[in-house]
Amino acid sequence: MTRATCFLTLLVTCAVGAVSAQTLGLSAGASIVGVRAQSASSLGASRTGGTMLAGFAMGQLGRFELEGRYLQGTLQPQDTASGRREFVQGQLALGYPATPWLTARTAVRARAYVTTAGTERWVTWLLGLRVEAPLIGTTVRGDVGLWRALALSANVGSSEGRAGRGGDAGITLQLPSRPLWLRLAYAIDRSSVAGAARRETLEEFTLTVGVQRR
Amino acid sequence: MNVRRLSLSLIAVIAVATPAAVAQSATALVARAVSAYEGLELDAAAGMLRQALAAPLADSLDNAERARALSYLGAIEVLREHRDSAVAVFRRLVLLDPRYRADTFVFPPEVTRLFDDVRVKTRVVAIRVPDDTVVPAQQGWLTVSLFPSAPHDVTALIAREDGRPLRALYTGPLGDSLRVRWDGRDSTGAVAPRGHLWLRVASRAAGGGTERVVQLPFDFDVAVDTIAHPAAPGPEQLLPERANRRTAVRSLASGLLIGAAAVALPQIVAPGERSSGTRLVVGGTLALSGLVGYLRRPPGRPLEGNAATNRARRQQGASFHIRSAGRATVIEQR
Repeated sequence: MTRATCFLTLLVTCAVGAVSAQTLGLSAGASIVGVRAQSASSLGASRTGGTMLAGFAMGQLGRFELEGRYLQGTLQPQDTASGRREFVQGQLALGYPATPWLTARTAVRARAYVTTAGTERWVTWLLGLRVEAPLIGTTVRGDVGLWRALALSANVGSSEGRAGRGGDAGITLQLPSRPLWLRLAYAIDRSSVAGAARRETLEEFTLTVGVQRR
Repeated sequence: MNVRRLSLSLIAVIAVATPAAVAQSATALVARAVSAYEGLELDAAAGMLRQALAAPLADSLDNAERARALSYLGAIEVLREHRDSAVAVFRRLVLLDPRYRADTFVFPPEVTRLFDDVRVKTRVVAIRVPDDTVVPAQQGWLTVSLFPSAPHDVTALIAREDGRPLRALYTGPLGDSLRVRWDGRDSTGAVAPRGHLWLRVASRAAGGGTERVVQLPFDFDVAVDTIAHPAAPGPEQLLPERANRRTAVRSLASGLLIGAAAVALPQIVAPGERSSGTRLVVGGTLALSGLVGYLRRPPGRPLEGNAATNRARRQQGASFHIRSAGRATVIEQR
């Protein structure tokens, strides 16, 4: 946890120093997200899902990208063993495009599952890479990313054997001569504690409409 | 000595006064003719108007006064039942000012009807452009306003000094008015040659073919800012202007690889879990987009976006200076 905090602080410090004389680009969007969650523990497995709304904002400061995302909704049971859960997720990410097609990213993500029994909180520090490529001119671009958890804390299970990893892939359409863009994406991640005796796997199918200003 | 000085002064006064007196007399003659028309002294009015519209007096009339004189002369010829003469006068009036409309409060219906008939049959276009303008080379435009005598089909283009077409601006119907734009480039996107150019608007006859051409001369120049700019961009700073095989294959390969990665993500991240089919939607869309990208970019195809970006990089800071070089002339084609 301390190592992850230091790493993120270092990145933010570098970013702030490097962008003082740079231009600022802004982008914001709203998403409809189909979420599917699978939980497994020593007590059994459960599956829940739901459609939620998400908000997204990104600022481009010189070569650095600072991105925030918020998602909230209800996960409805999809089998008899599951119960309804309220779901909230917030994420703050910092990206650095090392090349036009490769971006290094680090992020902190907080998740909460609210049930009648209490609230589960998962906080994950992430580090990953994203590859991006133009598909149709510069209008349509595709990207795929993978990440690993640098650190994970949760108020469930044992403090030992915590791990997480995930990935996402998407396609973005930037409308020519207009500030509008559309994005279709799929993301999956798995977080586990105590040697996978307790694990949460979350899939997201996202459709985003956004505007950008440069 | 005093006599010589007096003579020189007199000559100077006469030299200054003569053009002003001619202008005043032409305008006064038109005014007298209008009064005579209103008093139904048609022959006298016609004589005065013909005198005002003939050299040397005509040169001192501006277009508005000339149009006024022609409208009254045409009306007099209608009232004197000289229809052919009236048609000729009205035709001259339409060619002088295609936007002119006969005033129904001043002229009787038979006059306005004949004028409108002549106007509709005389297809010609008035061109309005700024006399002297500077437009940025990047995303700058010269705006040209076109006003027809009556709705008809036109072709507007920029021509070289020798008459060869340089850039087509518009082809199609022209109703009440139309604004066309020229970005200072030829049909290939290259900057137009410096020097004398023509703006030509051809009016199409009802049965096809060109009936009449109006052409306006202007001077075109490329001005460069006096502020020092960085050196011209090298090849490494410019984007490819034509698609090559590599570009197309890269689109296809990227689409297929990223699409496959999207489909395989659950196996990589969470093996053993039951994953949803939504990844197939995203993966399929990615692969399909890569295929479309491949088909849209066959080798050799011009990449307009890249070419425009390169042009902008090469011409950063430049602007086009466009200056009128004379009056519009009307050329009859048949």
